[in-house]
Amino acid sequence: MRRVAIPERPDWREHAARAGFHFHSFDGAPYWDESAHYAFTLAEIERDIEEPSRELHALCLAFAERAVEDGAILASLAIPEHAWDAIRASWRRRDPGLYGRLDLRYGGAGTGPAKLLEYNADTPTALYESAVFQWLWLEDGLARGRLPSGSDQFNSLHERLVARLAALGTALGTSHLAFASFSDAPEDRGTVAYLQDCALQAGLSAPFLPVEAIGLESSDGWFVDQAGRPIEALFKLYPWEWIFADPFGRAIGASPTRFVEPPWKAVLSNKGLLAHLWAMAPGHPNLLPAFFENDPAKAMLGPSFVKKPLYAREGANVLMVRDGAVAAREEGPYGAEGFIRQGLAALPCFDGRHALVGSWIVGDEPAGLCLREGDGPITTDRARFVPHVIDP
Amino acid sequence: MSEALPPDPARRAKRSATISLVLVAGAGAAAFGLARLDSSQRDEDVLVYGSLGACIAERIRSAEACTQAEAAARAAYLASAPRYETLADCERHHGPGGCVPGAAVTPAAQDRYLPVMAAFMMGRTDEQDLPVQPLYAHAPAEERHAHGGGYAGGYCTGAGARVFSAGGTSRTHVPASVARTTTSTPRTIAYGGFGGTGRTVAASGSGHGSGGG
Repeated sequence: MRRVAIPERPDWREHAARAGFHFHSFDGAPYWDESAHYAFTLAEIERDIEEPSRELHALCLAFAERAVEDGAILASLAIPEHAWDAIRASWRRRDPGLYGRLDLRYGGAGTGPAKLLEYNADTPTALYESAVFQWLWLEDGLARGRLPSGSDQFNSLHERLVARLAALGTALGTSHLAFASFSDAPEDRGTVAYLQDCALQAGLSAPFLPVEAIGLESSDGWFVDQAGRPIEALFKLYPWEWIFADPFGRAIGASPTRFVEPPWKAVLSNKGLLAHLWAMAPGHPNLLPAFFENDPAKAMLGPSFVKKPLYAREGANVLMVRDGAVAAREEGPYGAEGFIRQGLAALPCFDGRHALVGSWIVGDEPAGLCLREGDGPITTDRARFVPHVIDP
Repeated sequence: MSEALPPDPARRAKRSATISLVLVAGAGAAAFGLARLDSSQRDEDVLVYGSLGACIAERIRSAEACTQAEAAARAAYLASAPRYETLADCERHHGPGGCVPGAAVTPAAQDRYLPVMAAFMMGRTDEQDLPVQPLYAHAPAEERHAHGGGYAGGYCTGAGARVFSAGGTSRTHVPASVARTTTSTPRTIAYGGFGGTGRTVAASGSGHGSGGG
């Protein structure tokens, strides 16, 4: 794993505009950053990232199987009791998941195994730029001779998403999958627009509706669109913990509407997962020791650890402590539901940038990579997306 | 591209072979009107009239059949017209001016808003044995915009299914499931029960997105 600095394409913004990539900058600073890329060997990809990702996802499913039936576990995740039946029922029906992103600490061959930092199993973004714009960057780089001939990329996201959406329609018995997010959040809307595109290619109808435009029909429990039509299946880029806290959240369990991601994903997209995984598989090479903040066993972590809220995104409310002193801290609105404490595994530094490996799962299969670089040790929403190649 | 051969031809690429996007030019707006009809469903021939007079004047059905159908639709309307908690929710579906306070229709719908009965739907023949249904204007704002100035209207049933009658003609056809699905209890639809938590949390953060991560 190397960081390779090369000049960005002078016309990449035009490429982005043509490809529908409109959220490539954030607050005036680039989010898409092709002034460098990461180069991996095939062994690093397959042995160190792909295989561990498959195994970690399988371990997560084994945890979900146990968690949905165990009130003590659900309570430890701060999932409200009124949501338990919906979560349990969706798992027993085997409602299929679509995708997720495992965030890993990995620094290349010889620097130790990849370590799971968290699982964005419910509402991951960075999907479009991983699946499409990164892929276009590689093809363009090969065509222009900017990248070594024979360079490849770990990125079968697009093909797998289309195939998974087709299978999902079959499993849910519908050819209609509605898509919802906030319509005024460009990154969310862009991510959902891309998934709508994949769904169309999978033979599904894929209308969009804003989260606030979803209605509830009280006599039969269907969630309905703006026109009052029942929604058979709904993809929502809106986290389960927010749904469960919303007024309609209590209607999920009794509703015939099916959700993607399904309610059972709520047990994975929660930092409490990390403590439970460590308890299930202590010493697993791809896990860091992790404990709930109220568990005295957390003392074994000593004076260096990372404290994370159960519910949070984009690095918010994360506290990093090294040798008893605060090494980094991010503010944010989360933390009311409690915290976990995870062993400290600092992100690898390349040319002064902290690199985080995101490993995509589509269905149950590893499907590609996204790399984000931050200026600080905690990856936040200011991190930049940097493309990658596999060496020829 | 002759130099682009991979060094090991047996090695399978780790990336997608092709990527195509069908929507990028108009992401979002293009997603409207793509609902596919289920071709396995049989259609029923039906008649749609905006008034009893229009039914009688057309003479496809007898005056007596028209009168009975209109009365049955009125009765069904009172018992089962969709209820909305606010006028805005109702008009969002049925269009500006398409709704009335429930108290003006039936005491059972007090504190609710109902669409006006815009038409009624009956079978072409008695042999079809179709229930008569009241119909409502189907005019959500975003569909009116999506169709520009040429939005042709259309109706929906109390169960939420669409009924199109092209060019002002009374004769049309609908899937059998639509023709035979009636609502005996009114649908009460509430909006706005999702999104509040996210708005509250997002207001205190500053992410690119709001729900994603």
